[in-house]
Amino acid sequence: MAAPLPPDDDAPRARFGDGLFRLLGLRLVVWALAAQAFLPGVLLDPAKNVAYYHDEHNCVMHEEAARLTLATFHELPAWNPYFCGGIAGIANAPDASLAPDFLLRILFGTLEGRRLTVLFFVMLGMEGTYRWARKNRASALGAAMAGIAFACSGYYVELLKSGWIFMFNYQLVPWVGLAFEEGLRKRRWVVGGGLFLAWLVIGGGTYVVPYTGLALGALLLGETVRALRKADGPRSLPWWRPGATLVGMGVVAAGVSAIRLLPLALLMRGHPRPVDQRDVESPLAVLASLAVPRTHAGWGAHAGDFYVGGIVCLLAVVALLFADRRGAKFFAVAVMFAVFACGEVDKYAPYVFLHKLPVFSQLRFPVRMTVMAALFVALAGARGLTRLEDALASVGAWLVEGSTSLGARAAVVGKLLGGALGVGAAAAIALFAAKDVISDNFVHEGALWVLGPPARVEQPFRQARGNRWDAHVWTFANLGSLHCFEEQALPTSPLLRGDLPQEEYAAPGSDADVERVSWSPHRIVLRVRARGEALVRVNQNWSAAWKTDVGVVEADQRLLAVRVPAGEHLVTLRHADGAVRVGFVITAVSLLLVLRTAARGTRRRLRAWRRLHDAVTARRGSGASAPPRTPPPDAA
Amino acid sequence: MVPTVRTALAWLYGAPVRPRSPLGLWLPTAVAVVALAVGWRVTTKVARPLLASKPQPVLSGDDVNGVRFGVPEATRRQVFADFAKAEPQSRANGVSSFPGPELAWSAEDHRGAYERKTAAELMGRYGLTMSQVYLILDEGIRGRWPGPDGQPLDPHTVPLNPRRKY
Repeated sequence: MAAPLPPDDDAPRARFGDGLFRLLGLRLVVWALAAQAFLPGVLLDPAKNVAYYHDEHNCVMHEEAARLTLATFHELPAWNPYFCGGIAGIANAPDASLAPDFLLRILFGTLEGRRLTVLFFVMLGMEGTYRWARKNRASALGAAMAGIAFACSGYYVELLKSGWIFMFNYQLVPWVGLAFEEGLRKRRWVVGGGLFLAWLVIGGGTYVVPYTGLALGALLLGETVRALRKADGPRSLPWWRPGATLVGMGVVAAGVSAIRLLPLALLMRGHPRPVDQRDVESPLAVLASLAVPRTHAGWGAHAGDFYVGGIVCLLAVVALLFADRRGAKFFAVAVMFAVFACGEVDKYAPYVFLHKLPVFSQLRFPVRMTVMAALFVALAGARGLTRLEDALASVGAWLVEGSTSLGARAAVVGKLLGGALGVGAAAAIALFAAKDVISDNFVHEGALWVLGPPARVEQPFRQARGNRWDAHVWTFANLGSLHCFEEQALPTSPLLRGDLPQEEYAAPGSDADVERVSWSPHRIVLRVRARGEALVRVNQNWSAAWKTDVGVVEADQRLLAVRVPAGEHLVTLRHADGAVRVGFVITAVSLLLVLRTAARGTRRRLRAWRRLHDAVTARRGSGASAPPRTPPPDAA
Repeated sequence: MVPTVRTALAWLYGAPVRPRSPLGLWLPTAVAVVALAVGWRVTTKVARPLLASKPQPVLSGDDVNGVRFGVPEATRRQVFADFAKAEPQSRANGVSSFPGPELAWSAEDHRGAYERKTAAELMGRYGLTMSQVYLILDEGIRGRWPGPDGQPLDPHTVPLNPRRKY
């Protein structure tokens, strides 16, 4: 239930221009133009080209396999037969096939869809950061600058080079943070925050969810301390509210993402990532990666890797100089992530202890946490610019008031002119800061997507020896690549081979004719004429999820096989993953509950709109003047 | 008129404005809708180059008059022979970089990296696409075409066993 409390924190300050940015359409124009300046290579390079780096090929392969499974075979991609001879699909860490953004790959094709996803996430990141900054009383200009700085920061260029489009869901993190802070007082945001968290879980990637968890932990700590100290006076929250908000978000997220969370958790438990490396990064390098542009690479190692703008970093410091509470909050979280990003720089470094925790123990490269530091620096920068804008407006107003003879109107004129001065200066700084980030980070045309499109070949599915370094080629040709790479030692069979005349055959010692009747990633129908009990091999890895309606499924040196009795049979092999099925049911029920909540909220807002409309119309009909916004002093 | 100007100014300053007439209710709504339409139009214009891309190439897997994947058989045989010729050295390089049975997967992975280099070289040499050269390699392995030593290439790969350090 929403708390019966007045709006939180210090009163919002009216600033010239803040109203204009309330228009979502105007913000869309700004985000689209900023994205266009940041992503010329993404938008203008031939859409079906692929980048040279092999991880891009791996991602394209996974996504095309999932797209084929969903769009062509109308099956949930629980199993990917196109790689390693068959491995987990939805349960695999980089899988993003059930995320809302995957719809773009289904609608427009994997290759174009990936580029559109980049554009979509960049604009979404701008909007999310903008909203979170505005929630923290940043001016529209400060918030817009923060949105552009974070969404166009250097790490996204690194992600593009590597082809890790699924990791663009870092752009959802500001939405999660916003939802947490809004959810402290508004229940619908708890549901919203849960949905964004679920999107992170479903959207793929191993790093973003634990990092977001860390950020939420830091925010939770701050809000709980404020509540315990009753720092907001009568508006203070009960001490348990921040924790309850986070638990609520977690429950919604776990429910909605169960279809992926359950199989993923089981796979990670059964096949943990082998991590045995010491990651060290110098604090100066982390700082340089955030604050020094690539064009000055000589100023520090890794300069520009996470570049969020030198001006934005300076503005974050300005927020501290103004003793800005919200700026300091964001700055502190940024410092926390920067310290973690240094990894095992010392035997007592915080990361050493973090790395011993579940989930975090399976992660490498803590330097990636710098992307989170970039977000919080951008938010602190928004507060810094806001403070400057307000200070300039006040000084301008004071100067006008003191130097004119307008009498009573001096205050109004002073406020208008001072406001214009503040906005003008803030706009100039925001524009300069945004240009600085974009001009250093932008994705050049013709630089990344240098390989021509892979060809489609219409032929029956079969396994090839393949090559994981160019994994994308095989899927488009309807071939599986046995040569593969995954972060975990997923079970694969030594009996897999890429030279079979047919993929399903009688094992040596078995006397049977085998013919494929139909094939899809999760359903293989075979006609078997066995002249005695026979073992039929399928050129894919065994998994406990494979079931048969005739005989028994067996693992023949981890190869999928089915033992059938003598006679002629129509054998149907089905991949039915129990964890995916249970997860599907939980997700479906959770989504129904969320939809019901959303429908109620929409009905409530429509009723409120109708009431307002009726009141305005009735007032016009009666000729009465508008009621005062606050009751007169004698109303009591 | 003055209250209207004041209301508009208040709106511009981001202050909450309560509508006092149907016009005051519908005008901001109309402005928001128009702005949204403009925003959508600009966004779709930005994305348009991606939606107007050329269709993906399609290759025929059927052998028609000796031509398959758009390449005559003689060229395909030559491309495969070049792959096969490079493979023993690729294997040796893989094993020397990652010796021992516990690193067998890494050695095989390394061989694949060398094969990728060979593929890039053959693309340039024969003017073929990446898909074409790999499809030819697959055809040769599947057809058990003989390599320089008269033997077909190994159709197997080593079971997945990633390293703990990268």
